[in-house]
Amino acid sequence: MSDYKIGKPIVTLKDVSKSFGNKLILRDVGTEKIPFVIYDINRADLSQGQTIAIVGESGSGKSTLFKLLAGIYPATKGSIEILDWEDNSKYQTVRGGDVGFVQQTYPLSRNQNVYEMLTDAAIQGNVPKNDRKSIIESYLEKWNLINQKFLAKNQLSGGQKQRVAIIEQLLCSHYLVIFDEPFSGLDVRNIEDVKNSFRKISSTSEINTIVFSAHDINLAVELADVVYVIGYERGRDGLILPGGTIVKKFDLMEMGLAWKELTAGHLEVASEIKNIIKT
Amino acid sequence: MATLQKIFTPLEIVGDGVKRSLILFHVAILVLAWTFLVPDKTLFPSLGEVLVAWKDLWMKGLFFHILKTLQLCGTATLISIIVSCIVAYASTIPFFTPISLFFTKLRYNPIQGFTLFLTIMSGGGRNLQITLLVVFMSFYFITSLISVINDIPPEDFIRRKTQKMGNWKILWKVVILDRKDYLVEVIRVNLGIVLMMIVSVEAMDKNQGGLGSLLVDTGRGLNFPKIFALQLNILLIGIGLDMLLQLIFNSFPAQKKHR
Repeated sequence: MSDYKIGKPIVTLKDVSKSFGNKLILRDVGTEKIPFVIYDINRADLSQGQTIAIVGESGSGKSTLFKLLAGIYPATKGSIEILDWEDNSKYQTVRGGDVGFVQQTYPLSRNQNVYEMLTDAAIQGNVPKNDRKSIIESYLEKWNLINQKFLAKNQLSGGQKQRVAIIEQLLCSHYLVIFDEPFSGLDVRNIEDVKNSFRKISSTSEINTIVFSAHDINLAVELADVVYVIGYERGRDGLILPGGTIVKKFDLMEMGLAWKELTAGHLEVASEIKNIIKT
Repeated sequence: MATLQKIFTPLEIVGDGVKRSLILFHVAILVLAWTFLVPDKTLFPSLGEVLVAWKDLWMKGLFFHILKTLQLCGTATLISIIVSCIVAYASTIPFFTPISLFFTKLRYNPIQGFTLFLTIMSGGGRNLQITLLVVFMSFYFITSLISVINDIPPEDFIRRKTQKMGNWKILWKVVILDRKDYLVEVIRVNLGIVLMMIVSVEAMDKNQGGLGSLLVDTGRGLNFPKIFALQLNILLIGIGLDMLLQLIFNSFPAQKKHR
């Protein structure tokens, strides 16, 4: 098992619920029974951030949880506290812009080319004006997009759009980046590209943290250090309670499965998760 | 043979060359039919008569009337699009939303009833023509622009929010700058209504000149070759403007196609 130390919490969710009108979408995420805390994980002689997977059936509230985590809209109940990136001794309620969010559809500007989009992101990330060009170009080189520098959104492939969306978030100085279904509809080669993207983000900074959702449970277990299963609980009367919630947490670091190639142990966990989702 | 089969099959995609050839073919058929199938001495003028009438109109200053019409159209469109943008963009601010939406409903109110009022308010003449066109066009522009704003996917706003942008900056970046190509498209789509209005508006004060006033004068003399020549002229100007606006629209990054 790799040596690691658990550092300070980066994000803490406490009893978070979200309703739209009278409809409860998400219920009590981050309880005493199953805490939802993202920690800064330190590995000896390695600069690597944490990777967290959220899995669950469609409509169980994964996207809502992500939007809450990204500060897009406030929780109806409970709190989401995030580490103040400027002053690491403080925490604050998450606001839009504190957390990066790569959406499933990779929305980009319609009337800007790649370079202009990334310049916008760099300005928002307070990248000094004199360094902007060189920093953007180094990202374009690293992410194999230099030939697409002056192309518009419609001229990019799906994978290229995704990479531009990721760089935007990195330029905005986001240490925590959420990916909503990054593997959805991708072929084998593109899945490998996304995996490489994860590695690049993780290795860029010690505190970089990725939270992603996936329908492919094997892939989620292979890539994540911690897997949260989101689903529906049953009440005492046996009826399904309204609103999705975290029904199980798998700490793969604790289980000695994190940062390893896919093993039989991973497949066992994946099988258990599939059973939970089915029931 | 395969191309021939394709052009008569629904939903088939044909190349640009074939499309251009088809347009030329249809225009040629129309011109030939007009030349050879229209019988002599009917109310419907022959192509030759229309061309002679057009030449006569040209010699009598048609060019300056065209310029007057284009000037009126351009001025009114520019003012109208500025007003419409302000009203439409204001619809994103909750306080102004009901006002903006009310403007979209005003297109159901015929403007003719307000003509006298607007004549007094604007002082008549060129000002009245511009005012009428601006008021009339704005209702349509505002409706189209608000529809464009309503169609913006929520993901676009979320993206900018995650980039630490405030609401005013998101309005500027997502609603205004990122949809600037639609301004051109909104003008293009509503251009037909503007040209339809031109005749009525220019006829209100014939001293100002323009194709509309010329058409009303010609109509009174029942000079059908000249009427046809003018109608054709307005149609060709409309098609020309439409093509120009389409060209501008296609030049925006949003319209660039996948390589």
